[in-house]
This record gives sequence, C-alpha cells and structure tokens, in this order.
Amino acid sequence: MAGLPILRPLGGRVSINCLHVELCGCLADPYGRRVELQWTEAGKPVRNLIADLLAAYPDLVGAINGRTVRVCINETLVSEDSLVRIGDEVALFPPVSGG
Amino acid sequence: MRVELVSSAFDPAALLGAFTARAEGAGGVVSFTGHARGTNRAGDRIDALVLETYRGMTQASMEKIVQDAYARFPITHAHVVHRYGRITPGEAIVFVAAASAHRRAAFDAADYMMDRLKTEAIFWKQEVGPKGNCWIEPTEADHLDVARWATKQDDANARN
Repeated sequence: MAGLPILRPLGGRVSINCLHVELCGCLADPYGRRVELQWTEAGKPVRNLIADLLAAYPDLVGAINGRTVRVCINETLVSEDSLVRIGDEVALFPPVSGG
Repeated sequence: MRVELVSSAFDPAALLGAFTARAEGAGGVVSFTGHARGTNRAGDRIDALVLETYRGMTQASMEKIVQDAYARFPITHAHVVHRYGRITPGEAIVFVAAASAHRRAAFDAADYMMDRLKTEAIFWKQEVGPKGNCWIEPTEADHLDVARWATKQDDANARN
C-alpha cells in the first residue's frame, strides 16, 4: 500500500480529521474512556464540541443527566468560547467527587 | 509543602512521625487521616472505592488547596497524601497534616484543607459492591462544610 497519495477534500482548505476526547468519571460509562469526533483543522469552539459529542454519542445525555459538564483543554478548564483544535488534549469533566 | 498522589497503601503513623520531625520548633501539629469505610451511607457493603484522576490536574488541584491554606493560616508546614486507584475498606485514603506556632492555625488549616479536598479536588469516586458500581459526589454536608470557609473571618491570624 506504500506510495498511495494522501487524499484531500476538494479545495484543500478544510480537511476532516479526528479529535480524541477523554470522558472522565461517569461520562465514560456508555462509550468508554476515549471517543473520537470528526473535526475541522481550523478548529471549533467548545460549545460545538459539546453539541457534536451529544449528536455522535447520544447516550452521553443520560450520563450527564442535566449536570454541569466542564471542558478541559491541555489540562486547563476552559469556557465555551474557547477554540478546540486537532491535537489538543481534550477531556470532559462531570462534577468531581472530591477526595 | 508536600503534596503527594499515591497509588499504593501508606502508613499514616509513619507519615505523622516524619512530618513532626520536619516541623521541629512548631508549637502545634495537627493531622487527619481518612479511611475507606466498609459500608456506604445506605448501609450496603462496599468491597472497594475506586478513585479516578485526570493527568496532572488532580495533583494541581490538591496543590492549589494547600497553597491557599498557607495563604490563609500562619502555618509553617503542611503535608497532604492522597490515594487513587482501588482502595479497600480500612485502608487510608487521605492524610493531611499542618504545623504552626500555635494550635489554632494548625487545627483550622487541616480542617480547611480537608473540607476543600472533599469537594474540589479532581477525583471521580466509585463505590464497588455486591449491588454493582455507583459513582458518588460530595454530599450536602460536604458542601456546607466547605461553605463555612467562604464567610469565616476569624482565621488563625486574628487569634494569634
């Protein structure tokens, strides 16, 4: 298979890639600890991340169960306006249990 | 300041001995150890607690709490050790120690660090028992405990 060209979408401006998202605590119950999302190279804000995750993994709605979920990018808790890019370490935090 | 996240069992008595030696000269040394219980709040048997962490953020959340304790109380030393992973009943989960010139600051700092660890430290905790696994969150009492510090003005500085 070596030597095959890498296919890119027409226009070459936007390519679809995978974003890896880590689901913490009870959020891992329905699908496991890591899930993937198709993502744009330009990145999208956190609010899109949540919407896309719930669309792709609908059982997360039950795991979230109306509670506040926080998003962590590269080990920093971020707001819903923050941009999420391919290659970021992304995690979804349900409310913590504490120690 | 020492803050440790550990995956294996620790000996609280040995930790306290070492802490007291390091805190030589302090007039007050206070420690607290939390142990895993064998039953949950409903009285059902628990075979184990499983504490999940997230990369460096769990450690960082604990360090922030201890730094805040130093800023708030005139303590000279603090040590926090917390387990993660699978913990069986009777094993120690958390050890907190504080030392100060006078007793009140050490008592308050240890109390403050525990209240915040119980509600804010980045852990997700599951009880594992014969009826299955159950995620647990801080109780209303835990939230009330930590809320005391939001309004408490009579810290150890004022009393020393």
